[in-house]
Amino acid sequence: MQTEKQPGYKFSEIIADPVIRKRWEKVQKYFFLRESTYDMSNRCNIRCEGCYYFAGESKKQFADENRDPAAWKQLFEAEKERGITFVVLAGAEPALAPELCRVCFDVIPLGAIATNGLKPIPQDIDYRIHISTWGNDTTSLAVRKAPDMLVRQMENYKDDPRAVFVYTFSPVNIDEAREVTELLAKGGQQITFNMFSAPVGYNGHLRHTPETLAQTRRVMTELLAEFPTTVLFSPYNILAHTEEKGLHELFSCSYPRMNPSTDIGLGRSFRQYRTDLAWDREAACCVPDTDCDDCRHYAAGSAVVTARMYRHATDPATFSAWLDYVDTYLAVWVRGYDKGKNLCEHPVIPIG
Amino acid sequence: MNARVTTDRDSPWFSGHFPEDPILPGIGLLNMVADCIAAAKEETIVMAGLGRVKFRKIVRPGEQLDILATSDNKRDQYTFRITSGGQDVCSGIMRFTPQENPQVNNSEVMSNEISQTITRIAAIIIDELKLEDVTPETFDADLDLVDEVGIDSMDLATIALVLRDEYGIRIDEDDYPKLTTVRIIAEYIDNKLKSSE
Ligand code: SF4
Ligand code: SF4
Repeated sequence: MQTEKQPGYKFSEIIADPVIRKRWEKVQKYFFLRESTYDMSNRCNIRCEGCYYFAGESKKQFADENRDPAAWKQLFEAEKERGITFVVLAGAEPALAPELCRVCFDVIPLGAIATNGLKPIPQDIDYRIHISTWGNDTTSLAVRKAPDMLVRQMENYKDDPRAVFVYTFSPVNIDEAREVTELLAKGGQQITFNMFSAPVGYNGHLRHTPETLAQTRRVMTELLAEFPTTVLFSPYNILAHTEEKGLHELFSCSYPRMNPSTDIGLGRSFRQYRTDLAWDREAACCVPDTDCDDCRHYAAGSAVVTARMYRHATDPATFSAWLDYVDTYLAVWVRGYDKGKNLCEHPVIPIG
Repeated sequence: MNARVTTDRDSPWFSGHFPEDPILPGIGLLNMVADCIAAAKEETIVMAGLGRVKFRKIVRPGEQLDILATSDNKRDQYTFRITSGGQDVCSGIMRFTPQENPQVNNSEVMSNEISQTITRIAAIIIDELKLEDVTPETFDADLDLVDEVGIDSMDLATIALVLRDEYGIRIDEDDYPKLTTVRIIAEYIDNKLKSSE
């Protein structure tokens, strides 16, 4: 009998390694996470250039803002009933609707909030808090028109274990990542990396080129090596997010927007609710206005790469690289999950 | 069909399970239901499958059990329920086939192979998902794994890897949405094995 082409290792052989097995068992406990995302407010306290929310094609900012806690409570209870175990609260700026975030936390206790960090989110809302960072304070002033942004963000979330800074690499701020990482390391805070991913129809200077991708890869690699406890990332994260091919081409995005199947996984359960509590399957993904061909977004990778376990179970090194990715994802998104040491320090080609 | 049965204190089921702490094993309960249905039908039938079986209460020697079995719309399928003093003991669905000439033919060999694969897949799912109250033999092969068992894509990927080890076949990630029941997975594996022969 001729069998199909097989990987060199059986899965049982790969997880027989005690280090791999331990990490596998650690991440496997979180396979129950099923996410959806919610826009909590259509207002923001700043106005950044090229903001997806206000400039995006989906025109989410024109949705009515439902501010009734009872309506949100009913929604989250229905979401819980539907099997949602992890929420991502986004914007425009969710910190402007803390009472609604609290309603959510009371119903679904695992989640993350994406904020610009200028208005502190009350301590009792114990979600992971992602603070968006677009460069040093000179760049932030120019692009986000907000002075002393990093200084204020760091002050607001000083000694706050909920906080992780999300640095978005664009072609114009690659070298500033070092300065920001050093400041955060000094302040005992954590950082993870995101990639600017062009909105649909955008062809401006912020779109990455092969050269800026390579340059970003170099800087990320240096920072991860120099600040291993400050930087929540792995060599495989770096490769997967700085490939010339976008995440969809590499891993086949499973968000409903790109995936017609409603049978299982994200295609079945993921929804992206607007402030009027409506959602649209056609626009449902974590970054609805992004051009899928240019998508390297950290939130997209967290779902798309982690879902592709099967294809990474070919040999111990590749599977370890995937485990590092999942370990990073959990450390970035789940409160109380501690990142382990990366298992695979050498480059593994992303399995597209 | 209604029946009242008193469990026999001397039954070998009790001595085997467990000498120090005798209880009637699940398979003993199911046998009891099958015997009652066969007796009521007055024809020779054999149990062909089980579904949604739930064991809720331990049965001790000498306990009086009430068995209620109702014929479903589907031919030879019964929904049953066992109670003891008003308390639920066990419930589920039982399917039968008429007993045929025992001469073995090819399609029987084939369905035997499939049913072995079904039992093995059920065992893997039970093991991976740490399911309780169900055994590989009682797992309903037609249960919707997503809707009724609550499996999601990462669970399915894990199961697919264990199946890859066991059968030496590759399960395409794009095929996951189609693999909705244990029977469909078994047929999928069977087809893959045949096409690689
Ligand atoms: S902080 Fe976020 S929501 Fe507000 S304008 Fe900037 S990018 Fe848009
Ligand atoms: S933008 Fe990214 S996450 Fe959204 S559907 Fe496209 S590839 Fe998927």
